[in-house]
Amino acid sequence: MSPNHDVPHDSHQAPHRDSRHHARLIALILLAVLLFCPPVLVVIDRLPGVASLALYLFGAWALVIALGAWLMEHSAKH
Amino acid sequence: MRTDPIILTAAFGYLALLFVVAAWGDRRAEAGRTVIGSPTVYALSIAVYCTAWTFYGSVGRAAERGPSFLLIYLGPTLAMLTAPFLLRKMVRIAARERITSIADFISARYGKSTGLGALVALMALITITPYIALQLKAITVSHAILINYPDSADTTLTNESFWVDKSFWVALVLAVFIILFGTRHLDASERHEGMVAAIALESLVKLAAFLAVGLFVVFGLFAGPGDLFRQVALTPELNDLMSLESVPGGVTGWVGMLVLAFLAFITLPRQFQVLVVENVDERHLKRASWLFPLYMLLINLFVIPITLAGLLLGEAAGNPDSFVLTLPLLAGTEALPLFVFIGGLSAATGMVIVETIALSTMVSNQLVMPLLLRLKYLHINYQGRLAGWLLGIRRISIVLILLLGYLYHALIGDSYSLVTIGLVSFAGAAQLAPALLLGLYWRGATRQGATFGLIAGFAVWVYTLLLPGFAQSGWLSATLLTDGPWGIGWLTPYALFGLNGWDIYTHSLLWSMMANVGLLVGVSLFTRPTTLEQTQAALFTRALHPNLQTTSLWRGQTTRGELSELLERYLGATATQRVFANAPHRDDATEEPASTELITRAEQALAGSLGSASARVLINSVVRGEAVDLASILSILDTTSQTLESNRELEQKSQELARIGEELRAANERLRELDRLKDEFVAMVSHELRTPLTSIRAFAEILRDSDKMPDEKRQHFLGVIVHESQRLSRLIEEILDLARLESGRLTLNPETLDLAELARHSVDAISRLQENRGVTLNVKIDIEPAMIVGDSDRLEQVIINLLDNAGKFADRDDPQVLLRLYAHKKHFRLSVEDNGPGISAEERERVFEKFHQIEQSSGSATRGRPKGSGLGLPISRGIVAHLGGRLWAGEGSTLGGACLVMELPNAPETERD
Repeated sequence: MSPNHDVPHDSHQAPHRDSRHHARLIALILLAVLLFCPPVLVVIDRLPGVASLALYLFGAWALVIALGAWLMEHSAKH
Repeated sequence: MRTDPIILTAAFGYLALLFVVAAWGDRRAEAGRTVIGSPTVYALSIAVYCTAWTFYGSVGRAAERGPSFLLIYLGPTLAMLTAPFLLRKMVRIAARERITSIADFISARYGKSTGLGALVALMALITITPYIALQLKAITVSHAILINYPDSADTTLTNESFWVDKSFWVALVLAVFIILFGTRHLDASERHEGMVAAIALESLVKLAAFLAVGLFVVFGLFAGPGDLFRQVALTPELNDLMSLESVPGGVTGWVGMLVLAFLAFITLPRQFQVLVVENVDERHLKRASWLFPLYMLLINLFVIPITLAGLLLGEAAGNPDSFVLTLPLLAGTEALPLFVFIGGLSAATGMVIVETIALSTMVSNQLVMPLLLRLKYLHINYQGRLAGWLLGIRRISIVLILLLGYLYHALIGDSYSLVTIGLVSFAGAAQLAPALLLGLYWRGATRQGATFGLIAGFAVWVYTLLLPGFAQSGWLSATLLTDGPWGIGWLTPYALFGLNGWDIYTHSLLWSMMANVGLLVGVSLFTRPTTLEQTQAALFTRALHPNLQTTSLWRGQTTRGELSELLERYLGATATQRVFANAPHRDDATEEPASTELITRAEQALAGSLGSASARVLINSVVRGEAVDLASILSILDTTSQTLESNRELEQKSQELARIGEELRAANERLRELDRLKDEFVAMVSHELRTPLTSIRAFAEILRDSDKMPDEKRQHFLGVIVHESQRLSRLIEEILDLARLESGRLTLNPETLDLAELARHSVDAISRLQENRGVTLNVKIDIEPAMIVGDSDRLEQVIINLLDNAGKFADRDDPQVLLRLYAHKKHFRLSVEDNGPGISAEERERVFEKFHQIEQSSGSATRGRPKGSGLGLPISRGIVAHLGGRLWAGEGSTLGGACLVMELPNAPETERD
């Protein structure tokens, strides 16, 4: 007869999904900061090649945009 | 193609196109079919961020400082990723408070402070006007290059009169454009649909132009990117250009610039205008948060190839700042340079348009309006005409701002300070960020804190960036930069307190932010905010609270008449009617008290036109009483969250109750069923007992009444009586067993025994009876011994019962019964199968109900087969269950009839033998 706590109630699922979405977004922002900041850049900069740093920056940028697009449009469906 | 008439026709033709698009946009908006209601158009309008400074300057910056130009776009990319948190909050607040500009926003946050609004407006004006000048200069220079190439484009404006300068005329056309499409409504918080549509178009044009020149350089001048980079690799001096070494200030400079671009993107007045004020729908942020970064990526894609190509070509390409234009000219193309010029023009005009609207709104609402409101006689003498005045002020300020920008460009256009003004402006605008961002998340930030922070930050910015720029242009002694003011070394603007070797922007950002944030936090901690400030702080920091939207915050009292008079005086009759439209009233209702919603709507309408500070002053002039104070706001917020919480709890409880109710209902149902079964059972038992009893009595009566009965017959009757008595006592025995089983009082004597032996024994016991019935009884024992723990008497009773039943229901003509004993996992199974009609699937459980008789069985009974009591199987099942086993009816696999299976667990090892 005790209330069953294992099964989440419907009204709890929406904020849960929302907070997961937010957590993913925050993770993406942190990833972007990491990719665009010196420790990684210094490593890339030492690679041989005329424009390896520039290529890396554009690649990382495109990746961040793609992930952002996926996250935003994915959540827009709900 | 490069004659003046053609270029001018193209340029002014392009501007005319903007008018057409803007007019079309406004027409559509009036017809209710908005063109800017799309997230894509919103994203494109944000691309006003990419100005002529991007269009021409990115290449120049890349040529000099390597990949650092990208930071100007990576910062905004980060900012756009925060859209669901930060920008959404700003948009939500702006929509509710009818915010008209960033100055209005900051003023509203800090208690609708007039002074703070004016300060921000002034700062914006000082920071941004040179930036507008830079755009105009870009137009002049690009035009000169286009005309004069391959001669030097070094046309100094001082040699020419302003009417020859094309950018003067462009500025003039833009002034007309902005007045037409930027000041259509008095309400500046309303969207400028036509203008936004034109800006979106401009964004497309400049992107297309830049991509065109990029593709031309990579695939026209060179044989693709591979060829270009191969040639670069052969040129030693270009090899290190795109590495971190070329970034000014190195790693620190990199981070500083990233932060600077992030902050400036949010605080530049034009960005605030398109991002926040012109936002139609909060949901557009989602698309824009990735589409706009994608736009920036595309427009920057060819910057590095163009830079490298220009540097490879050397002298002929001229100044890196104009590579975009000179490279196509160098190749002798005709149409492309013109297209590039139009692209640059669109980048410049887009920026000028939005920036001027933003600045003019600030000037009229934050600087001029508060001053006018102080002049008492205006309130009395100019009733009803102030609405027109306001638009007039805004139009005049548009012309003045553009004129100021042009003057700046014409007078000091060639000086150093204008070239660097892009980033200098960024750093100046970024000074608004602490007051804005901390104000959004920290309720404790006060008006005094914000004011001191802004002034200090701005002062440090002036000292570390603006003055050195003047010094480099020669208006101040150059010793300021080398020796410091009055020879005080540690005050040197570019190396304050001896901080050497930093990139000048990062250096300035560090010190100005330290002063700004430090004072904002420090002073805030030691000042007490007013009630209105506290209210606004709570409203801003909790802006995303779900129930705040619908809350009405006025508590004061006024009459409808006074309110409508106030609105009419400042906004005109139409706007007043709109505010009152939703409030039903009689014509003579002027003396009725105005509802709180009406007061809120009136204040919002005023705020949308005059800015929140002026709106508050005006509303206060007619409303007696205060806006809801902080305590009430907090209680609204808290009660709503408490209500939400208790709602959820209630919901949970009611669900629980519903479930418990369901369980109770089921239990009740079951009890009723049991009751019914009990009644049935009693009826059945009585019936079953009466049948033998009746026959015993009948025969006994015959015997008593007829003395002359032959002995033979008497003997037969007595036999029947004895038989029926046996049946009766057996039945009573069974009923007693059942009662014991059900009450749990059945005593069993468990012992370790061999099921195989027991099965044989049972078969022997019943074989005689079966032979009489003609039943063929087969026994198949797979495992021997099969040690189990059980009560041998009771188990034998069960097995005999199963065999007896099987015999009864086996086929009439050739009855067969098979007993099998086999192991199954850790159990032994004893199955008894017959070749009768079998038991249908739905009947299989019911045969274990008390007194249940299978339909066919009645038929068999009439054919002379002994009828069972209907208690054998329930008793057997009870016994087996007591011994820890199971008894069920299954599918007969060998003989095809019914199959009853008894399963009992193995005896534990230790108990064997």
